[in-house]
Amino acid sequence: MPSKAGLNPTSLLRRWLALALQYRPYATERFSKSMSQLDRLVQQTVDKAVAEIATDPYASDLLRIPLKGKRDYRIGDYRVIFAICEECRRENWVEFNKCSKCKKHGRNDFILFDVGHRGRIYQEIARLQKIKLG
Amino acid sequence: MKVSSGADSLVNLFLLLYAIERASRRGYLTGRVKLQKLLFEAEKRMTKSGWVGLNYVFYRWKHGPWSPEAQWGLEWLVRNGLVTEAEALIEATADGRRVLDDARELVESNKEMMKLIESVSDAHALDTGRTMEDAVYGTPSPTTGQLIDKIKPGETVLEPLEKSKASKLFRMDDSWVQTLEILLDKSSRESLQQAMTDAQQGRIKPYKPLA
Repeated sequence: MPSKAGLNPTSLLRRWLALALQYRPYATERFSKSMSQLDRLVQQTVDKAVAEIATDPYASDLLRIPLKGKRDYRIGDYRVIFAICEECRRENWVEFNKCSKCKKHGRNDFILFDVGHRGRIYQEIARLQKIKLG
Repeated sequence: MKVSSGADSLVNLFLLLYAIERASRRGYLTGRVKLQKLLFEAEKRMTKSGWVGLNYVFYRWKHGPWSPEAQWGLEWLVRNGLVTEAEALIEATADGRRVLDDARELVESNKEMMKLIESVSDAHALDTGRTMEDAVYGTPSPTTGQLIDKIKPGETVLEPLEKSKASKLFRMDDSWVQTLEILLDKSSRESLQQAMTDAQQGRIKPYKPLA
């Protein structure tokens, strides 16, 4: 039976579980620097993306060698590159990510490596399309 | 002007880098004309086999079939430190070779297309751009059937097959698309390298959400 606040015990439990299972973000210096170079509006979008990653970091794509061990989360024309600590240890990707403070991070932590624009190649090609031959 | 889009642009850049590395390994890649003719020959053979790998549109231009996108691709690879073009000699750099080496898995899963590029590069290893240009004029356009010599400047000589009609496509999943977006872009590559150095040296702090 829903309470006055519109919450029943099951949804409360779900919310509690979601909070308990929430992953904690850590950022490299490079991530913070890249973030500071973005427009305020993009920063807000990225900030929202970090919150989404914290809820379900596995909803992202794994990158390949030589970027193995890291994941890519797309938000429009931007990308956030990060690694999930529990996955990194479980899959023996420590040698790829090489975080020196690996042992200090818990299983619910994830490391934000970098954020940036992902479409420079596509933008340049799109400009090419406008050129007329002759 | 027709150009590729999305992941096809990345496939073009990757295959272009592969073709350059291969051609400069076996012989000398002397200039843009030779490179354009090698790409034209490789894409022509792919089209004939019903494959879609290289996605360039070639137009009849001053030196025979010419793809403006391939020219841009070469310039992109040079600007991003993967290829050098010095005194008309085009070569892959150490970074360019490293990208190809790292992407062995991608090369392996598209072995037949890579072999086709290799065989074209090897067959013309010692040819000059001029020799290849002369040879191509007497051949018919795969798209119109007209002799390339007779096609008006600016008209299309070769277009990639429609994907729905192809018997084989270059295989590359989303993970590779995203990996190549980074590897082929110097600023992304260097920025991520810096981030990895930060992680190695312990420069990691709890993330502070925006106020």
